[in-house]
Amino acid sequence: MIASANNERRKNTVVIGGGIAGLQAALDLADQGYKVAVVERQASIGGRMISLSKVYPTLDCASCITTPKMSAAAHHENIELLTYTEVDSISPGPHGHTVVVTRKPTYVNAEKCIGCRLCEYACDTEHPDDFEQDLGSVRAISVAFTNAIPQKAVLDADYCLACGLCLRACPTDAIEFDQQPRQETIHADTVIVASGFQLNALTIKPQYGADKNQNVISPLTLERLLAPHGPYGRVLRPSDGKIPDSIAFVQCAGSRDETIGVPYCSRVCCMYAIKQAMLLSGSLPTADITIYYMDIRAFGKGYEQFYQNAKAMGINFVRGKVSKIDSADKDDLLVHVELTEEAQDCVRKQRHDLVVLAQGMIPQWNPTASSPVHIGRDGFVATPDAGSPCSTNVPGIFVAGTAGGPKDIVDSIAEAGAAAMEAGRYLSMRGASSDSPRTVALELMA
Amino acid sequence: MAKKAITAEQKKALADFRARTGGSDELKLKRHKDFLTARKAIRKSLQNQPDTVPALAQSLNLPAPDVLRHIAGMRKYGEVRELGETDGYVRYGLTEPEPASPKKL
Repeated sequence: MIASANNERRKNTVVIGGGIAGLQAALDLADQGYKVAVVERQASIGGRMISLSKVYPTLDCASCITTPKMSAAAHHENIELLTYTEVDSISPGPHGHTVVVTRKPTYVNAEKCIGCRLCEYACDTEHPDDFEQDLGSVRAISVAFTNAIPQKAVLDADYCLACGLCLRACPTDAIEFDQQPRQETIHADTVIVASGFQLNALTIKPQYGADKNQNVISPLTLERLLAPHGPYGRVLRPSDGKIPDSIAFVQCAGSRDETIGVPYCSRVCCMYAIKQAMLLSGSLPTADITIYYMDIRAFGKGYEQFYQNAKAMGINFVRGKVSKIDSADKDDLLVHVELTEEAQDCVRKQRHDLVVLAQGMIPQWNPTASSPVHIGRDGFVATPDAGSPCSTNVPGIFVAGTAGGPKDIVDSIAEAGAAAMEAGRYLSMRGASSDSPRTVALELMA
Repeated sequence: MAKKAITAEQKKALADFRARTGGSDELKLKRHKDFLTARKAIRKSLQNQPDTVPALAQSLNLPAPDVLRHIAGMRKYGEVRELGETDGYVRYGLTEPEPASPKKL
């Protein structure tokens, strides 16, 4: 049962998505004095980027870039974070947009919770950890991850046995089993959609055998294996914990293919594969690392040099198309690849311990069901005005980051800044600065 | 830390929650029982000697990916640690129990 919409807020901007693009846009607007609400469906802000190990081409720690922005947003006087919250609808009106959201129950009073994790340590129920791409396990009540913001426990009702161990352990009586989903309404002048991306299914191409062999993994899974606080603390293959000797990357395994509905290039796969290969050669110095590719798209600043560095490090680049991946004995994998640079058609079979499929980037959220925002043929938010690349078909609603199409972190951050600027311009045209009489009056009404 | 008693109000909220979310349905309870049985068996085996994931899986007749996930969970919550490598696999052992806190001077 969802409680009725009795809690209303008024903001200058609602940012949908608390990933790197959403946080950047929120911070840019908040620094200009606008009141911003960030709506995030997960228990913590940070998005995909907080789960990455390092970023290309600098190999900087991803957390070291994301965490300060997360913290800045959490502590900004003009930003309100609504985590564990889903957007139900966005309705444009003559006086702005009405955004209805549902606050999912965390069963923990956020005001009382001090993030001590005593409840988590007391709980004796574990399940596969979504943050760790299901490799590790997490307890039924837990703080989302080590550097999560907010550092508050969330109870997963799907796994909780209601044994009461957490109730007994909590020193502040923060556990509230009587919480219910709660609908709230935000009245805002502008909305920025920064809902991010997801990868298409690992099994979208059955010929790659991901449904039969656990050692065919997603690049996001490898990110967790490479992360210092990853599920195993080192790179092990998921089927049996073997330290892999031979790792392959299969490029374009979920993009540039009409037959699976993703005809476009995902734009980031070449570079993250090169980055992951370089990181692997650091953590597993004796391992053979091969990248099977159609063509390498190293288009950004410093990317070509990064690619050349990887080749110089001994990473094996093989131009060809992988036709299928079979399971071999001892959980190994047999990659069948057609080498396209050979004089004659040549198919080679190569054995690997672990294979990473470069899945395609698809939108995380489809706004059409709950708002008048249009999407393009690729499923991402449409931006009809080439001269205003962050504007959607609805005045006052903007898009930032991968919600608008595949792009890397650098471009997502740049675009988030642009979306914030466009939103700021729209707000000032409406006379809705933070200290304007209209906004103050609305604040008083809220 | 001493465990607190649950108040009557909290007991009622727990019972309502259980009824609402299927807190004690058979599937959940079986899943939990299987989890505890496997975890106990892994703990007992590692108490006898440190071992690799495939060796544990074979000796306990459990799927290796499940054993690895248990090890990941136990590592996360400080129950096991790495003790070196054997034939390309990591050897895990139980962590030493923490020594009792020294008496205050």
